[in-house]
Amino acid sequence: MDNIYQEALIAEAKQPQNSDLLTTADLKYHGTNASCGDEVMISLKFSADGKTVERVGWEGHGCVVSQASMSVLSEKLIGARLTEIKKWQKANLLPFFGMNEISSGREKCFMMGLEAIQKALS
Amino acid sequence: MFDPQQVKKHFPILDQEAHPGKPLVYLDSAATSQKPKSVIEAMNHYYLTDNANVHRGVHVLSDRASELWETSKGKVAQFIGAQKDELIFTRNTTEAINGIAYGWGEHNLQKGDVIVSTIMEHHANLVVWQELCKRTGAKLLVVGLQDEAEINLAEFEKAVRQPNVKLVAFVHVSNTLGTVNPVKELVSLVRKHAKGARIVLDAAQSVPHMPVDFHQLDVDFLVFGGHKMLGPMGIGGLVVRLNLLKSSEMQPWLFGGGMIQAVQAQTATYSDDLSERFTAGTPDVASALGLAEACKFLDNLGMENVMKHDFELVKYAFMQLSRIKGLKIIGPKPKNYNRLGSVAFIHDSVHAHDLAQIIDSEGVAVRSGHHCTMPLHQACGWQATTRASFNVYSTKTDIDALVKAFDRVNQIFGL
Repeated sequence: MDNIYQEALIAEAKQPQNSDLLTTADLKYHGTNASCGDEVMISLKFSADGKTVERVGWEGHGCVVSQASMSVLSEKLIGARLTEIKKWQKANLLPFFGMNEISSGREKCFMMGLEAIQKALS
Repeated sequence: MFDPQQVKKHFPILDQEAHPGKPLVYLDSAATSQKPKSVIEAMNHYYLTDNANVHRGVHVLSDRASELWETSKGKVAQFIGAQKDELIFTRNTTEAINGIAYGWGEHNLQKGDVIVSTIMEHHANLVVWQELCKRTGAKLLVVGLQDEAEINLAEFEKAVRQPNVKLVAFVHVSNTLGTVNPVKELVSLVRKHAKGARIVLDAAQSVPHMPVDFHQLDVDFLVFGGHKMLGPMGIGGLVVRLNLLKSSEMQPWLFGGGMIQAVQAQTATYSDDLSERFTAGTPDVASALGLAEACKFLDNLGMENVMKHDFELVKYAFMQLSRIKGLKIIGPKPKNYNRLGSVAFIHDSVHAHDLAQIIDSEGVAVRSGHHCTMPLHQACGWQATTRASFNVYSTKTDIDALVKAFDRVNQIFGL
């Protein structure tokens, strides 16, 4: 079904938030979706105590699902504790798009950003 | 007269709605084809009336199952112009290629030897050789493309002129570009410059769409998968030239029951009977039977007719899709059967996954991604492509539905 293609999601993908890499970052990570070649580069700046994310910058290429999901995630990351971020799941992101579930065929697109962040933090 | 609307009636799965009010239009046959009723019924009939393990049984069902296994193998071999003993059933094309690596490659390659392949290969015809190189110390040379559409023949010739080329592997019909490779020309270049080198032809996407004759093609190994040619999943074939199969160059690579001559506690000898020597373990009789039935179905249509029908669809799809704003079709422009099976494209502002999903919402099934040809996508700078692919039941009306689905794409993306 195409009900994921709501205006909000397309608008988010067209004008993504935080979509510039940070010039000075504490952590950089390159994530890919092997099933389609989509990719994302994420840069993070941590708080002085290293426990929370202070700033986020990213760049990516991919479908609107992966780009919109990464955009929303980037806003959610700011001020979040690293220990919390490691526990996030797709259920933490779906409500932003008014969704309860995503088809198995698109889950990898939707989760590319979060999986990249979690791998970077692990 | 070949009438795809009549052919379609043999495929019950196609008579359904994909979404409420949206009839299913199946344009993903390069990934797997649908199966005619006769194939499904033959397999059901086997399990309902004839099932037993093959060979060495003396009872009536075992006799019947053995007979069906052997006649099915004969039918499939005949369909691709091979002798029955030259065909080894595998699970799929990928397993067949692995069979060449383990059954031939491990015994004939060493450090300093060269394997030549091309950038348009399916991962199965590259990764297997990468791994074989790791095990033997051989080197893999990958030939590039010309005009993002065809094998660069000058580069191919240069590659096969290298010293110690022992194996050359290439695809007959590309699953992404649709390109039909000039097998005759490629084979003659190999035979001329790399004496004694063995040739592997990946025929997974050619056998379903055109007449294929193993002996005429003059290759040493030919591989194909049953599920892309109207047969069931779980069966494919490795065809090996008889004199090679009989020689010590080719060794069994799967061991156990069914392939032995005699077994002692510490050693074993293997069967000289070629139908046993390379088929270890209980074979998939029902799938062999289903595949043989698929060959009969295709024989009845006539592969020349199938090829003409397919090329008509390719030309029609190419022409209709070319008219869509922002769409670039990849692969060669259709001319004289130079491409078959599929038409893949890239939209200048909509990602392949988004395209495929919106097209699906209109009931049309297409595939998006890299189609197991990542190196090709990288070489051409394509992140992902969307592919519409055909088989005997595909019609121009199906392609019209695909074209119509772009209205929805344009609506959603405000194009």
